[in-house]
Amino acid sequence: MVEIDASGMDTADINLKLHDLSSTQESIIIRHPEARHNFAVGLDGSQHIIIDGSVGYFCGGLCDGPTIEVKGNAAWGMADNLMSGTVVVRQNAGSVAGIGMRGGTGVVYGNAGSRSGQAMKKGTLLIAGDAGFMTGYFMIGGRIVILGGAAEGLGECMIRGEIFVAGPIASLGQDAIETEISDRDRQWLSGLLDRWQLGATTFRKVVSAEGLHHYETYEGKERPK
Amino acid sequence: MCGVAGIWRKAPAEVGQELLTMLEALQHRGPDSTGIALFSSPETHCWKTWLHLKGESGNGFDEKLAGLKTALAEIGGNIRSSDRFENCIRLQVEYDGRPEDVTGSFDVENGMDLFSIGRSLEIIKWVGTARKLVKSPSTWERTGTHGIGHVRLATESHVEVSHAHPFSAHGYPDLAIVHNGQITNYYKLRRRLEAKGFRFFTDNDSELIAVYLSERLGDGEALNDVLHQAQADFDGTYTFLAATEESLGFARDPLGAKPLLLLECEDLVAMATEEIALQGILEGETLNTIEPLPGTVRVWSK
Amino acid sequence: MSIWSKEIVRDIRTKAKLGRYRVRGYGACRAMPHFDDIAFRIDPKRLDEIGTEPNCNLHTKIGSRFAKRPLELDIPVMVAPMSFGAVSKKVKTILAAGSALAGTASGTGEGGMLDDERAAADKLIYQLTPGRYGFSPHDLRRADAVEFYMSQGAKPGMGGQLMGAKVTEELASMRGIPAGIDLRSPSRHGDILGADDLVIKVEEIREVTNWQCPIGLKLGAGRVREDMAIAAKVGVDFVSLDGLQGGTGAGPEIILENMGIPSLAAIGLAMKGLEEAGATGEVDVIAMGGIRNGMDAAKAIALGAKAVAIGSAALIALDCISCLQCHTNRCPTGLTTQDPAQLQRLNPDCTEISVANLLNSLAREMAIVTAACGKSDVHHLSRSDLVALNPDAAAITGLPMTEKNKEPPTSSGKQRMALSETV
Repeated sequence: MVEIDASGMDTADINLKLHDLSSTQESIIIRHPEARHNFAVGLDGSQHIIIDGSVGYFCGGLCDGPTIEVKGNAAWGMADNLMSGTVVVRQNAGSVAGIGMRGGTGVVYGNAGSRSGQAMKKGTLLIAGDAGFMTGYFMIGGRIVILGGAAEGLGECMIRGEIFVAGPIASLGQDAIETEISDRDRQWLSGLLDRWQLGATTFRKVVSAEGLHHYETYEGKERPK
Repeated sequence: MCGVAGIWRKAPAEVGQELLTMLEALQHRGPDSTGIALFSSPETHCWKTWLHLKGESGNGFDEKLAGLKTALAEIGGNIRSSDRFENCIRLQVEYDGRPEDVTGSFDVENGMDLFSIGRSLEIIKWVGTARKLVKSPSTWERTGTHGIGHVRLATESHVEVSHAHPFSAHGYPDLAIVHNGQITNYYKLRRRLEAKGFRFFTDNDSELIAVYLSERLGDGEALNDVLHQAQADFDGTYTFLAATEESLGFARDPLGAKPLLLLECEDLVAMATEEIALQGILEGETLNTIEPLPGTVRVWSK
Repeated sequence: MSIWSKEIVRDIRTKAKLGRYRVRGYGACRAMPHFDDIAFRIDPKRLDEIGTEPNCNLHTKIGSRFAKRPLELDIPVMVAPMSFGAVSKKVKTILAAGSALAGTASGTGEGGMLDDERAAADKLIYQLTPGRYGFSPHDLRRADAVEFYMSQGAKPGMGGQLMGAKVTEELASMRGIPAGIDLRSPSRHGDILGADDLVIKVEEIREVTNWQCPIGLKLGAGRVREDMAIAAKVGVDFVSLDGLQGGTGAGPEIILENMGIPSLAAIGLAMKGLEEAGATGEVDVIAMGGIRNGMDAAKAIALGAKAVAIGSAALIALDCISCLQCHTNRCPTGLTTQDPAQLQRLNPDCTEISVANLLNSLAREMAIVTAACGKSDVHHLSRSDLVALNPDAAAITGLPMTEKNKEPPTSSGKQRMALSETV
């Protein structure tokens, strides 16, 4: 176990140290994070990092490979643009959790804030608690799984992607519709929840109605050939 | 542009210092000016005021003070104590009548801004970081029951302290607000209020919030209702905190564009733009904070 | 000219069928104050200092403020960012290669970094856009600079746009979007909703790039003074300032013509904003939006820009005929199309040499203007070398109308007097 005491260290030095440890087999634990921003960003490697406390914005952002676990809360943008790997937050996450994800898995054991999963392309965002306002806004792919309830505007303007909700849905966003959940979906969900030691339950599925992403009319040369 | 913080306590404590600790943690969001509004035990025969001397620092402090003494004497008031911090004067005015009489006599003096007047309220704001007040030897009431604070990233010509938060509505006692965001229909709302006779002293959209609230609170509406009405009338992005002698509340815009973290526990309620601010005043690494939903209004009252 | 011109009539009749706003490419094309409305004044005392081949220093450094490795350019003109999507892959490579030949930079624009483009370019500016298409930390690390797209001159306040006909499988795969959709991107970054958030986002990107490369903002000219003060405060190294005349591959026509302020006005306001933030000279401004030649470029630099960028002009160098139909996928010169058949229309004589030639032409034009003003470094050009040629330009730029008048006219009375003085 490698221990890093964040108090008194510049964020840049912490990230450099984490980068240097990119092929270490030992777990790395960061103490006294004190909800600071930009911890463990831009790492590629197979580090297993535990952050013993709360973090600020963008924890695990732009990473490709590591496994990061935050014992406390995360502020906005956890797993920002994640390429691969895992970011787990044991308590609550702020807005835009998993924004622009391109792979990997983000897990929030508490509640996630508004616009979680905004513009995500691939990968999985799992929220064990409630998901905030406009979760899945402008989603382009990937999957969001919510075990609690979803606030207003779920899947607002989503282009593609799938949202699975176990709890109540306050309202669907523009161009989002409920659809049939398949057996394959159920199997996948069951495997996912097993992996993260969460209870399996019944889900509803929300996808794009695909009505907003084409103009209704075209003029002259705009008309597709 | 900014960071906000607020504390509501059941029993008096060193709320002033707590606010400064929170604001220090938020300073990266707004390094240019800092301010706090503190509510401490109310005075019965005295109005607490904070005034700002415009212009060069050091110039004319004594003359201005003498001028104020004279103006107040004309309405039967007198200065119990006066203290200096940066370009501001803290005046305790002994006067039994209405606050408008006091502020009216202040208007006699040119070159001054009125930052706050109240039985409980003191608004202290300055150019620079939270550290400045922490290190200052000046006299100010550090103990209180509740308060709000703000750090500002300024974008105007030179950092003007009169543009710093917290804002009050000129002459309206015991009301302070802090705001993070931008009210996009500011001019329209301002013109409406000016037409009714309300005065504005800056072109800062946050000042509008104070004036807007003062109109409705002055009409006897409850803070909770006023905040809901504000949501209906304001366009743009906002998380703002409002405090009166009896209450503290916040409102978030419908999209939740500006962050707010809230922590409620046994002795206190604390809120701030970032969790790092709450970490400074509460023991333990992992706090049970929540981010209130967009469009939320909440008020705590005595 | 009638308010019911042929163009307006046609516009209304089209909308009667279309039921929505019209879309096209390019930026504002109608007449408005531009660089032609100001001129250089030559100091007669320095006439004997002009040589035939001036030894003028054109070397330009962008982003020295905080970056460990600022951009070092041979000339103060670069190729403006245009996305793979707006233009073809071939054009992206040609532009990148052309910029490399001329010793300068080009930009990825929205949609990610093409391998071909990265290989062909010497200096490449990588763009972070709200849609995050193709955005990756690996490309961040092979970029020479990063620019946060906040808005662009053609359509400030709106997001990127790409019509379905141009969203081919290849493009879709690179951007991570489904093929064939009429793509309209969010107008705001989900994680940047104010200058306070921007401070934290800039730090994140600095961390990922190990503080090496310059970080800037791409801004469509609007409230330029306030925006520049914010840029200075949040700690970016440069701002790409795109005026109303800046182009795009697709945007709503009414926005293109009417939203934003002209490039001529924007640069001076940017300088004022920096001055007010106490950051004069710290944030490098790259001016763009209707830069057509070395004279426009020299004027922009004299007004305060560190460098300029050319977008539409670079395409015109590749035979673009400015038909404004970039969004249809039927570009008659094979530039802004993804259709394999249409791509054949690219003129084989139009290559990276054409682009490099244009860039070098601009550089040499700037050199002779600089020498004519009696200076040996293009960055020594300043406002004192400029005059306004009409009252509008004088009011917009604050430049004097003639040698005799030091102040721009403020009332019609003063104007009359000014004009009579010059006669």
